[in-house]
Amino acid sequence: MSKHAIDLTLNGQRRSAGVEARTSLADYLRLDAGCTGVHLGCEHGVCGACTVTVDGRAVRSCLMLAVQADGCAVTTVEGLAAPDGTFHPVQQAMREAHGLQCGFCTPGVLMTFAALTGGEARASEEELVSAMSGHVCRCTGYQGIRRAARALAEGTVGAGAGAAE
Amino acid sequence: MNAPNSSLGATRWIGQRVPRKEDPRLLTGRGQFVDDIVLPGMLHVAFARSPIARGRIVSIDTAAAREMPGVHGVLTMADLAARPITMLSFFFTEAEIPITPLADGHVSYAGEPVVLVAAETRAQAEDAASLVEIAYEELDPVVTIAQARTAGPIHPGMDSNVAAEIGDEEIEDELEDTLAGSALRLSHRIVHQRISQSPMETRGVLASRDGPEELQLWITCQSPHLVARWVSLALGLPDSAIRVVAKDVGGAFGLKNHPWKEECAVIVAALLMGKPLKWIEDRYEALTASNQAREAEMTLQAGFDAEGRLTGSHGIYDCNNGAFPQGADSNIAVHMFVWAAYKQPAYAFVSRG
Ligand code: FES
Ligand code: FES
Repeated sequence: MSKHAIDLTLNGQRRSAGVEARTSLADYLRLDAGCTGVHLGCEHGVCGACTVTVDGRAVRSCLMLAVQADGCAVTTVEGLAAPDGTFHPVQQAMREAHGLQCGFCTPGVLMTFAALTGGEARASEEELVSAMSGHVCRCTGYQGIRRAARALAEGTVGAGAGAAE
Repeated sequence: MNAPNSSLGATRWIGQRVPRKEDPRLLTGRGQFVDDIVLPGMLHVAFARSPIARGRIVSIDTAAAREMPGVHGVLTMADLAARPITMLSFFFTEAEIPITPLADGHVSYAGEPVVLVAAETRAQAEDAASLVEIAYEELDPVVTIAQARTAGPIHPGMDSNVAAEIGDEEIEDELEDTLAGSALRLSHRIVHQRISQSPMETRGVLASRDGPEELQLWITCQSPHLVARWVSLALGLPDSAIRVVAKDVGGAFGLKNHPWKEECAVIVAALLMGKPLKWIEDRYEALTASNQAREAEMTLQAGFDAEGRLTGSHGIYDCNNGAFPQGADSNIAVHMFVWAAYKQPAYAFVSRG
């Protein structure tokens, strides 16, 4: 198998790697980069568990090849919280709303919400809920996730409390 | 009035929103699911599976698979037989038919694992598994409850396709008289579709033989203790020989009570090869070959008196448990639930699975 050299920024750190042409971004992140928060529920682009952001946009890392991430800035769930452990608002919102049970789908949901609410992005509750059509959660019945979406859209996420202890 | 002492007893929790202690790790990508565990020298498993629902295995050719880069082992049931394992039901009982980790001579469902390939990466294992050549003599599949009633037994040497039966289809005279004498007698047939549990985290196991009587398992499951007990009985090892770790589990829904064919094949292969082996089911495998639940048909009769009070009932319950039921006798439990909320003077039934 041919190897290709890639350089990318992963969770704010520069990384170089040699990857096979067929290696998905998800497999590279999990197996090479140790980002095991990237979860694989289907490897078919259906469940959304593998979602990361690439240059700020939510992407299913099982459908993107690692070579395509050459030169990109990739953020995984491991890169969401502040260095001191303070939760990102999407993490805080999901925690307060009990938006997770087993936590397997959760990293993908967090990354989609982060892409739609971070920086200049100000998605409405409807937009966040409609983005959830790209995620499957078998545990929660989605109501907690809906409440998290509302809190994010309305800006009512508790300020800083409950940081990663 | 004294304020309740909120630091003591149940008052601390009742009515409170309690933050879960596992949330911080799950929200920051620090959960530990089976596929997140890596051991030195670990190999990855992929299976060559049956594409047909029923047939005899004519030949298995593993030569090309063995030649592939990174491949350390290509094992059939003949190889696994070197370390016997007795696969048990959910109730720790032995099945009447032999249940083997890999197919032994014949296949009985689409997706049944036939050959185990262990390689340095999952991709290499899949490449090699795709080169295993298995020739089958295809037989008519037995898929539905109706087919199971009339078809010959799918397991050689058995006299029917019923793995467990309790009760009587014939209604006894006394109950028949009660029903016949009731002001109203109803009969209704209920068909319940099959359930595919489909947890977000598929099945998976990492098995490591750490000594002659020391086996460590990381397995996505519903109860590590139940798994440890089941595996110790299945392998004939003392409880203390087996350590089971299941820190985070991505849903189970009844599917992950105890190991089944694939997990057992990985455990036995790890014992034989002396290398840690990891198998993580992919979604295609999960939807094809994971056990499913509760495809059932029930015909229920009930009698009522003129005031609408129940006088008696009879139930015929048939459940499609597939070729290798994990608990054939579990069908009996249905009858405990049917009339649980009602005063039922007389009830008789038959349960078959
Ligand atoms: S694993 Fe990528 S969408 Fe399911
Ligand atoms: S929390 Fe378990 S799948 Fe969403």
